[in-house]
Amino acid sequence: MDVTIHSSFLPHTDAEASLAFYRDLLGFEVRMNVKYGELNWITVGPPNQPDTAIVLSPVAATPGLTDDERRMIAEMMAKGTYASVNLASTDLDALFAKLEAGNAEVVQEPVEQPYGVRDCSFRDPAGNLLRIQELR
Amino acid sequence: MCLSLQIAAREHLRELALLRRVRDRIDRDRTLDVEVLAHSAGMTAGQFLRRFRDAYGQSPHAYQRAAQAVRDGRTLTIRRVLETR
Repeated sequence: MDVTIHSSFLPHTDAEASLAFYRDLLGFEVRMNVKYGELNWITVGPPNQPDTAIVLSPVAATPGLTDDERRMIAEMMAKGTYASVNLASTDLDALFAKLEAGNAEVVQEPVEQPYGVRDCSFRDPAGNLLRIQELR
Repeated sequence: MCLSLQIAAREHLRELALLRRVRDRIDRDRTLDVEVLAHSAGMTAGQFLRRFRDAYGQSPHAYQRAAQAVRDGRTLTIRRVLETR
């Protein structure tokens, strides 16, 4: 049996800001951009990994949420405790420099972790945490 | 929702985003100078301490200790896994 990770989801609060971050700063390609009224789903992914994508999704679109739950998710996103993803790069320092120069929200400079990983971290415009580790 | 409530909700989320940046800075700089942290969020020290506790359920000091404990625990766990491989 052959199973791959096809796409996973990160919430956004501002489609344009998130699109600019993933496309212009991380260098992801935009594979789909679906609009439905005010709602906007954007599928992005690394050019060298065409079979795996992240879908940037509007939180408000999830059916079956109560107003309280919607508010709580918006608060958790804003305070930075809701969603995260781990990425990897062979050239961590160049990627870090590019993101920092693009005014991305730095959470941690590249450091050698005591458990044998070198990584850095950022927030995307929606407050999602991105850890990026060095491939070596 | 009426307009004033919408504005209040937006303002609340904006303030939470400011607190997130301060909390990230506590992790990044390992600093706990409350005056400096409060200033970076455009708040007085008293406001900042109150709002931080409202948002994260603990004081900045308690948060820093908890975050360090998690980092230490993660290091230990991963080391143990590596050693037993």
